[in-house]
Amino acid sequence: MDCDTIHPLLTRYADDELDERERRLVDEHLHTCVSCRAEAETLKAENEAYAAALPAVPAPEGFQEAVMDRIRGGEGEPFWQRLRLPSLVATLRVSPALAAAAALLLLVVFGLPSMLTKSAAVKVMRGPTLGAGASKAGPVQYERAGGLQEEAVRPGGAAAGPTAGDHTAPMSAEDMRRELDALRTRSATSGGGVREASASVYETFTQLAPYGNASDAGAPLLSEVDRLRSRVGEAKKEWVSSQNLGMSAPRAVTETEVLDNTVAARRVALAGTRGDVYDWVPRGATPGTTATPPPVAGYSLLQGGQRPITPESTKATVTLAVYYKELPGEPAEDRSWATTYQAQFDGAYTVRAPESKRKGVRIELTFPFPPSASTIQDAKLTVDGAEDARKTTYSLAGIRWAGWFEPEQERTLSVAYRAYGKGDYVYALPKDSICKALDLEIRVHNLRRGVRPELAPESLPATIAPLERGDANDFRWTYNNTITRRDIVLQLPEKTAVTPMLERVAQYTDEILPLCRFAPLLLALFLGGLLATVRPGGSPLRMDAVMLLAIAFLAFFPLYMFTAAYLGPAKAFGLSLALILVVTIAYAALAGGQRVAGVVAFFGAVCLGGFGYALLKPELRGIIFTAGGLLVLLWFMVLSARRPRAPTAPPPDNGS
Amino acid sequence: MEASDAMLVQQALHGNQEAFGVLVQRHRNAVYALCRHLAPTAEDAQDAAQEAFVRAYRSLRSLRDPTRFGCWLRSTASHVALDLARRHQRLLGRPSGTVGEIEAASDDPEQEFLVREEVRELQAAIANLPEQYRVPMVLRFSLQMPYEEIAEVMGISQGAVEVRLVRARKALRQMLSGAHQAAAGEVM
Repeated sequence: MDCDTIHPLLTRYADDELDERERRLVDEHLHTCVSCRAEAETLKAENEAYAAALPAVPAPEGFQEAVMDRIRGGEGEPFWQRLRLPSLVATLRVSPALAAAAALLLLVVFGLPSMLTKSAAVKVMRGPTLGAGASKAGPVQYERAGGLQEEAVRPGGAAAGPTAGDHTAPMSAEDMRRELDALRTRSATSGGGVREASASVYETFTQLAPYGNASDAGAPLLSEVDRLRSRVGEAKKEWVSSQNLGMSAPRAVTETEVLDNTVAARRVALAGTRGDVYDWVPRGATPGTTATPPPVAGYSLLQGGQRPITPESTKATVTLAVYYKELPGEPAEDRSWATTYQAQFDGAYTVRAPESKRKGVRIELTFPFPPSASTIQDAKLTVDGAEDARKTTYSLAGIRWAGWFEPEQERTLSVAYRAYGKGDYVYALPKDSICKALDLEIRVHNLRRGVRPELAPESLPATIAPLERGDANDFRWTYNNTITRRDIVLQLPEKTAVTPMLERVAQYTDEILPLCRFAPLLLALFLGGLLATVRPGGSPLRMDAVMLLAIAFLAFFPLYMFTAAYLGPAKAFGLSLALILVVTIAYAALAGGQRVAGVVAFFGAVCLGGFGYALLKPELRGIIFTAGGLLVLLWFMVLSARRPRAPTAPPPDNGS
Repeated sequence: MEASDAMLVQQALHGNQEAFGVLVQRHRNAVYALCRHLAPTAEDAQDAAQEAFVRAYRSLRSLRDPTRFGCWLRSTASHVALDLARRHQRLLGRPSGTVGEIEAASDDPEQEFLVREEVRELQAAIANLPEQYRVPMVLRFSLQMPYEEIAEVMGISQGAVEVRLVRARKALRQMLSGAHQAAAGEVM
């Protein structure tokens, strides 16, 4: 062996890294070679110096305890172990802002549904029958949103009832009885008594309605109203029999019904403006079950001998301007809006006297004003273009005119007035004769774009589909030789712009509530899937990151609720889902990398998109739950198949 | 019978913190020494050593072969300590060459002084070695590890370990002879 072979081995020789054979060779060579021996000695000396310069410094006191403290404090511990309460509390203590945010969010998510339940849970109870006339068969169901028991409704003084000056507080039943007795006396002497009595009932309703809900106090009050109402009915009948103003009895009875219906219609109109769900009259009922439709704004043409005659043609235009009047309320949220209108009516009736052997015939026209109108202006009746003041009488009830027609004489009676009123606009058609040629046009304007008046279900349909032109909506009826029991009833839209947020949300209570109730379950599924999939050792997804993901996940629910108020449940669901998924996936990608982002995307889509949607759509619930469950199962199967075989369990540690 | 590292690792993986405590006890001195020779100060060394254990605990699952826990732990520790040293260097703008004095015990005071001088020089020289030479030096002479284990800790071959050690020695000899010459020049 020469030095060239041995020399490269010397470092390893000095470091004691040679195997047995090499070591023997080097040893043999060192016995003979001085220079190599010197080199080896130098190396060994150097090694000693290096070892002296790099001493094995022992760890300082308490080192192990410090390390174990850090580990026990949760640092570096996998999260399923860190989910123990003490360490969770420690995490919360570390980031109070995070904890506060989480608490707030939880409050919103789990508090809002209960809030909704309180304010909007619809209670249905069977109310007493309305009206002694019993024209509306059977008990009337009404519904009312709870939570408004304390409000005092104050109508804007539109109805000129005797109680108009004092409606800050509900009348006591005793007061009402006295009031009605007074009315009864008055009704015996004046034709306006019935109207006043009706107004009084209306006022009573208005004041008692808020108390007439499910509360126990409400029921006796309602029955009291019922009794009072029947007494008013009696008063009307008395008036009818005692005050024969030259009109036929059926006519008068009809007017009684008109007023009944007006009360009901006003009630509905007023209730509607409050955003509540009242249904005092069976609105959508078939015409057969409702009372005789009210000839409110129609006319009555009678020839001598009280036989009705029919105008040759009827042409009328009504221009309705809609205004909303704020009804005061305390607190401010209880303020509501009444729908009022200003109607300009222009009607022309061509009347031809029947052929007669006599010299002529006396024809009498009665033209009532709409009872929902509180003020009439510029009322004018002209006959062939000329006013006939002598033969015309004007009253709050309407216009009456009687004139003499030669046989087969044709005259044009024109009626014009401007009315201010509240609620629906009704134009009644004659029930006891044929309507030869009707041409009625109603133009509604002063409405917000997109807001449209609608015809009541029981109304005579318009012959031309309603046109929307700018802010005006035109309706037109052209009917020839028509006999109908229907009238033209135009429902003016309620003010919707001021609907409070909560009420908007409440519209969708039925859709939103199941979803919100299951929010904790969906969150648990999401977190469970996430924590079960992301290996805590491999992927450093910290506890606060998981918490933030959970908060973002929960944020879906309030977001959905509030967007639903504006977009409707379906669109809001899509939008909120997309937003929350984008946020959580992006955050997961930043905090935990691509893999975590994928897991969050999968479980977010399944839990929110799949199961959430299933909760919204009961008819699809079964299939979506099954599919989602299978998908999750598949996910874990793939995951477990790809996971490396787990090490066998260690033997119990009884050594050391 | 003393439990092997592998057993303790398994137990720690099953949530037994005490088992990991035994591992800490078993490896604390080696890990601390390694960190002490790589990190700039004693405090840094302690931080790095603690951090190395915590990181090891956190990623225990990613350890493929539990029997190699020691090497894997040392590897983690060297990374942590070198990271710390680099940060230190960036912060201070100079190499962390001056490792604080590390005492070596000796009985004779006079002898001790001489040895101290030599040791201090050598420590400074080692501290000025590039990382790739300094790590195998520490592993070899402080932790007394064989080439095979050094190769495993550093993730290189045994041949590469030998080459690095040879080059480290050469560099140290140059540095020390240069320092001696400079000292001689000052005296004359």
